[in-house]
Amino acid sequence: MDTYLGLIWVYQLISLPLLIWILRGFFEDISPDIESAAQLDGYSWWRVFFKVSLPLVRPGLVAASLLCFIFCWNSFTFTLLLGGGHTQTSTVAMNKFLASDTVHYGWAAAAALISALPEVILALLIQKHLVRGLSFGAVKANVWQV
Amino acid sequence: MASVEVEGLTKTYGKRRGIEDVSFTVHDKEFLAVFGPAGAGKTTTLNLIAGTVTPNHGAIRIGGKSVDGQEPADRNVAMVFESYALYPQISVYENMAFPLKSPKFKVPESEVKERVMGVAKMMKIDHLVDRKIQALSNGQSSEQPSGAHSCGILKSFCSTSH
Repeated sequence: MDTYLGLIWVYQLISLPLLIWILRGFFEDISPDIESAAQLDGYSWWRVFFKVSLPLVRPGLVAASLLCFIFCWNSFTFTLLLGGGHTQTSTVAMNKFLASDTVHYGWAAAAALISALPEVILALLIQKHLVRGLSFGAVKANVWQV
Repeated sequence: MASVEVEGLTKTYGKRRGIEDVSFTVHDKEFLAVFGPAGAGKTTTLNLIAGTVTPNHGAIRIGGKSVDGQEPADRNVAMVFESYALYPQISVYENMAFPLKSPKFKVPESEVKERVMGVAKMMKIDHLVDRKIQALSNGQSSEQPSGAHSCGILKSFCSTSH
C-alpha cells in the first residue's frame, strides 16, 4: 500500500458507477433502429458498437470523463483514509496549512486556487465537445421525428 | 430479386401480441404494400423479414431458402426504417457507402464511389452528398426533395444491388 497506483484503483472503482449512470442515458438516446440498420448493412455486433454507437455517445463520454475527473480530483475523504504519508493528493496536502497554533489562510487559499487550475483548463479545452453534447438531442429530434 | 414466403409467422412481446399466424407469399418482381392501423404489426413483420427481430413461430423463406437464424446482413435484404436510421455523424455519401464498405460486402473503393454517385445523380441529390445528415432538410420544405428521406432510400438501393 501507500502507492498512487492503489489510490488510482480505488478511485476508478468509485467513479465507475457515476460514469456508467451518465453514459447509460446517452446510449438510451440512440434509436435501436440505427443499430439494426448497421447490422443490416453487414456489420457485426462489436463493429456496430465502435463505428456507430460510440461516435454518437462521444459528447457524453467527454462530459462523463470531465465530471469523473473533477470528482476524483476534489475528493478528500478517500485519500485521507486510504492514502499514507507518501501518497497525498492536493486536497489532503492542503491540510498542512491548518496548524495547531495558526491557520495560514493566505497559503491555503493560494493552494486551493492552484489546485483548481487543471480542472478549469481541462473544462475550457473540451468545452467545444460539451456544447455539441447539449445540442445533439435537439438536432436529432428535428431530423428523426417524421 | 427473389420471392419472399412467410408462413405462420408469430411474434409476441411479453404478453402483448405483435403479429399472430401471418402467412403470405410475394413472388419475384412483385410489389407488396401493407396497410393497417398503428400497432397492427406492419413494422414487426418487416423487422422479422429483415432479421432484426426473431420470431416465436413460423418460417420465412427468401428465394426458396429458409433464413431462420441467419444474420440480417446474410439475408440480402434492405430496409428503410421509419426513423430513416441514418448515421448523423457522417456525410450523406458516407451513409450511402456504409453498407458497401462493411466487412461483409467489401466493395472496392472505386466501385463504391461509382455506384454511390451514380445513384445520387439519378435521384438528383448529388449536390447534397458532402453534407452531414444533420444539415439535411427533413422533408418539411416542399420546394426541395426530402434530403434525409432520399438518402435513406438510396442507401437501401445501394445495398440491395448485390
